[in-house]
Amino acid sequence: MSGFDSEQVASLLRQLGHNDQLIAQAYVQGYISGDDNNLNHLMALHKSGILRPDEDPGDYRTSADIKQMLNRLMRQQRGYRQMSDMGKVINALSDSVTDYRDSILQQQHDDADYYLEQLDDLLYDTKDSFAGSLDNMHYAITSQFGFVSTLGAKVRENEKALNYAQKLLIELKQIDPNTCYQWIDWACPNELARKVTGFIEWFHQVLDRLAHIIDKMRVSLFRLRRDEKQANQLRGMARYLRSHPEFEIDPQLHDAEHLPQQLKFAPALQLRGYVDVRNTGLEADLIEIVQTLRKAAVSSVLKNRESCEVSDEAIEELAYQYDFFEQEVELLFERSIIDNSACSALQYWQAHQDDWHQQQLEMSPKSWIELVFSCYCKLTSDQQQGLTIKMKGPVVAGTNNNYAFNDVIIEPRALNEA
Amino acid sequence: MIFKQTIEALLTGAVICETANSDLFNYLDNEINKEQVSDFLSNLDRQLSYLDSAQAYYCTYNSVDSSNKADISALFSEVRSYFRPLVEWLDIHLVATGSDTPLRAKDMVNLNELFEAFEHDQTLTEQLRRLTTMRPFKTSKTEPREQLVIIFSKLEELGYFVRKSAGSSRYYATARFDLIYLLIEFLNDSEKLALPEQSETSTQEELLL
Repeated sequence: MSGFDSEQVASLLRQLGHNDQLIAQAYVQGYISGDDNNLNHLMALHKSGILRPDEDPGDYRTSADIKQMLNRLMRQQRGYRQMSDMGKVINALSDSVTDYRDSILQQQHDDADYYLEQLDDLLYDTKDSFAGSLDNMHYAITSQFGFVSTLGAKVRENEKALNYAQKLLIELKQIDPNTCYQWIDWACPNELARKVTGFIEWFHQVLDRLAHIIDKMRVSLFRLRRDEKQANQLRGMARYLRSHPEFEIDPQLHDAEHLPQQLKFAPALQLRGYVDVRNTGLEADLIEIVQTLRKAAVSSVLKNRESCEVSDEAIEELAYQYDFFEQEVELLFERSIIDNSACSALQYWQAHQDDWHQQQLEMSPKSWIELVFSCYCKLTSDQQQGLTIKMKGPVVAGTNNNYAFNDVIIEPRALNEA
Repeated sequence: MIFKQTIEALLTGAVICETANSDLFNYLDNEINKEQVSDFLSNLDRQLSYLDSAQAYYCTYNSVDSSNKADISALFSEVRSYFRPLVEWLDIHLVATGSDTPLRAKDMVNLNELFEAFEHDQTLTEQLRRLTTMRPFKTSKTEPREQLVIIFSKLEELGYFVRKSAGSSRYYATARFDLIYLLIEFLNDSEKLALPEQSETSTQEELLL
């Protein structure tokens, strides 16, 4: 019993109900501004302690008590951060039990009823406060800290919640069941014994539940941190790959010494089933399959389908890109390989002048030598392993490997040299 | 019968997770069944591996020798060649969704919703275009939506996504994505790439404290 008339409580609740929109607005927006229409209601709510004036004149905010109640009922994250000082609670409980015992022993039944009621309120408040905290912590985990959106904020909220839960566990451990049993270690009425044993039973249950929540929070924190790490490494890897287009994973990755077992992906096997045709037990099934296949082979009846014209354009013919002089360079390389000897580009040019003139084609010796050089550069590295190119001409003054060349010599590379 | 199906799936390279194959996953989630499958695979010089972060089972090899070297090399060659485009895709997905959680097993991606992010973002469209010049997402399509469809269908073909029905635009991620993060972590350590583990903003916050 709270000592208030039920009509008083009903009146307060009615006031809350009648002004539901105003209170909701003040809670959701953080304030509500007064105007001609609502000023009377706001002042009445202020008088009842539901709203309080804001720093800005004319604005009202929900009182701390109402806000806390709504936070808790709406499962806001702040709900579970209400630290109970269990040491003080136990002292208060102990005092109430002592007062109750003295009243009983002195036959003061009215006082005893009052102290028992006080004890009941204390026990109820303690249990309710813990139950609220645990429910909200459980909700925070199951919703994956849904009240914040970024991964970083979730990690921080999880860390704070875990820290809080661990402190709560320390607080709870201040309750010594033996001390509680001592409260009823006299010829006490059943009512007190029932309340105290109920409290001890609740204590054991809540301890298990809290330990379970702490475990879940640790797992959740581990997962969130892993997600954060993987997301950042992914972004970092994408950036790294963009700035290092040459990066290649080691071709011997599968044989890497420290490759974790989880990355040793086994290659897929080609699974095939063969039928033992000598097994007479399979004969009936095989015949059925053959019959099905025969049926399937029968051409199906042609269906009448809607038709329409399809326009098509003539296929464009492209001439093969042929370059006479590039072909000649290839013949030069070929000759060097077939004869296994050094071939001078200039000598080749001189030797083929008559042929080229007959075909009305000509190229200056300088352009020819440059073409041979560029064709050599376009060879693949494997092809360049087979042929070498040597510049004929003086070294450019002041350098050690630059030539003012007037001819190039193509020569097959010796096997051991390659 | 389900033992046979599980073995066949594992030997043919399946990654069994709740999204990709819930029946086989539930079968393997039983300790006795898992032991039976493990024993069978060990006779074939294979191991049943479990990726805790994605809750996925798949086959791994025990050792490399002349009998399996060629096949393993071929498989890893594919892993190597697909690594860059897959990392690029996952990064694009992070940017497009504005999420800071990487795409992982059981996540759902709605192709239509994702496309909205590309509609008015030139940078994302350009990244998408670049991605579709790489195998396995290579395509001559020029419209971002068509490019996105090609990427999703290729990822589905490769087993990274599954759909509940063929025409649906809702794709569910499989544990194969989680294996990429594992590979990134390994490469970061083995190649000493020093990739960040914390976001730049939180590092800056810590420096300010």
